[in-house]
Amino acid sequence: MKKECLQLINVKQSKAFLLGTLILIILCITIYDLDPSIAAASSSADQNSATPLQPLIDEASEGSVLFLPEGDYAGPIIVDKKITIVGKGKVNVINTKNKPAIEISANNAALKNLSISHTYQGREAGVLVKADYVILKGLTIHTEGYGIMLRDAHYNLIQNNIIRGAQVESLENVNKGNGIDLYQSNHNEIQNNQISYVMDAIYIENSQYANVESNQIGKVRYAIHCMYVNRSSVLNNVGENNVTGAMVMGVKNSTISGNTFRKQDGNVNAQGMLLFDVQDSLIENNTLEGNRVGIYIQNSSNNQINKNAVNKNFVGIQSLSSKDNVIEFNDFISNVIEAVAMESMNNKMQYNYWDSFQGIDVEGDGHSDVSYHINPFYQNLVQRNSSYQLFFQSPGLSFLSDMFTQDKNTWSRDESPSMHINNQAFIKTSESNAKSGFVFITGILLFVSAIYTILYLGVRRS
Amino acid sequence: MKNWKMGLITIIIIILTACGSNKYEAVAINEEVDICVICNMQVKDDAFATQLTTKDGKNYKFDDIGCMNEWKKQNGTENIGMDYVRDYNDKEWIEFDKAFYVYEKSIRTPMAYGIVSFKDKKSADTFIEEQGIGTILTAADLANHEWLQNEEMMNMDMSDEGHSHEMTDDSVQNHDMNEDSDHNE
Repeated sequence: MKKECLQLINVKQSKAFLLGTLILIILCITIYDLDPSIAAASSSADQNSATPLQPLIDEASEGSVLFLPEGDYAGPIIVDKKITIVGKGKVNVINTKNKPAIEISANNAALKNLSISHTYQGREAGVLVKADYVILKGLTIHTEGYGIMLRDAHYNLIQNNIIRGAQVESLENVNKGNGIDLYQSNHNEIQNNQISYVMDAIYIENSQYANVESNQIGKVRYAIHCMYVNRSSVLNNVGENNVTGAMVMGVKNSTISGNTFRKQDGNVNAQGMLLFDVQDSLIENNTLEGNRVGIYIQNSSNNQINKNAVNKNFVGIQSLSSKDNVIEFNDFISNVIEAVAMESMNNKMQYNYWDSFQGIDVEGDGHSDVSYHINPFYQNLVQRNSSYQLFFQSPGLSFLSDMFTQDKNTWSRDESPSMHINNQAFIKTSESNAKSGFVFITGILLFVSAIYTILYLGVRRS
Repeated sequence: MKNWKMGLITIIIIILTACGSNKYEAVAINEEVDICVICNMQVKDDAFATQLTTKDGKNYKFDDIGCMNEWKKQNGTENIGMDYVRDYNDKEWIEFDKAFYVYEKSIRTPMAYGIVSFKDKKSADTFIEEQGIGTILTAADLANHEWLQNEEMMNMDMSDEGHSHEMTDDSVQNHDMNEDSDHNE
């Protein structure tokens, strides 16, 4: 009787222990998955109690600095003279009308440390700039339309701003406006901005010499969208949870370097980076991780695509009708399909690391002596009828792919793949390492609880 | 009993087949999944969207009429069952041949082809009147249209040497650049 009792207590204790462990694990996972996105700001748009701002600007003299004390101010306003408006404390400019909250039409004007609530749903912006040498710094813009719009505006600086649209669950309802929208505007600097919940975070059309650097972008359609852009640079930006990281279209002579586009997998058409009609550009040192397609290259030629880390994507690199590109020293690791290429000839592809490829390196120079061929069979099939994707990696399809090798010399191929990872640094800095500690601890916990279960709850031999 | 069941199944099959033979209807745009077949951009459910259905029943959507033109250039027009554009004002689907078009390079469209479409000549005229720009075109005129994209700003000073942009001084890259031309033989 006593023994039975003891056993019962034992069972109860271990049940509690197991439950505790389980809760702990779940808690860990929940905390880990929490998105570090900025909490929705509560902008109580009470325009009636707001101070009219336009008269203050009208009174200010040319070249002066206008300090605004803390409080609510009413827009829309027009800044038509060279002044600097600086918010002291929490200065909120509220606009509910179908006009830009702040329109700048004078060169050398500046806005600093303001909060702008632009609540009219439409095609107007929180800040519209139609002038040159304007500085927008430290602004927090909540917009239902566009964030910052530049029209025929040159040599402006947009730095350290936060732009947010209305929070939405699906792409269908996303804000119709872009975060920062440039049209026919040259020589603009866009740095260190945080943008979320808009259509395209940074949209640049028909412009030259734009410098987009170190921006953080999440929950938008396209993080960086270039249309007909020349001689520009997109450097060190981070995009997560967007439909596409960089949509680079009609671009020439530009540099896209050091960007990280991750977790772009929420949409069927998600991509890390799409290069469409891109010529003479340098794409290097980018990290494309966990996207549906890492890099998609279409109708593009004479580009240098080097030293990119393409990890954990469904398709690593996909190329269509692209010629004369140099694709070297990239790492393709843990992608489901490493490469897909159609109608892509004369690309100089070599020294890339493909983790599923087994090369032979007799000379010992670190590069394989046999080349890596990209079989276009599957892609050809799927393009004609997308339902055939069901047969992905089925034995029949693999067999057929191996049969159709007669034009092997026209396929895209890596002449001499690298035998080892090219850019160790990228792998280390990527999130996976931070995660592995967590995985290790969880593993230990599970292991301990398993041992405990087996030792104390296992069936007794009697 | 068995015969009755067989009969029912036959009727269902006939009905299903009949449904399938519907003629080239315009399909609604789903912004979540539809991308332009040519340029890969999302097809917005707006007045610039176009689509065509081939005779074997495949539907292709485009974000700009210029992209549809590009598709026709690549694939020919013989196999097209029906092609649709949208009225600029009420987004109603109109047959490509019956629509009226307004072109002006400064009209902003997704791929900058600068063409918008209208269901009748009157609304096209009204658009030109309101905007003060644009020339009217019919579907036949589009066959001779140049299909230029507005990118003049981008090419403002064309002292373009190709590789003149900011490259890093990495010796490996420079090496590749020099070799580029040799390689392409």
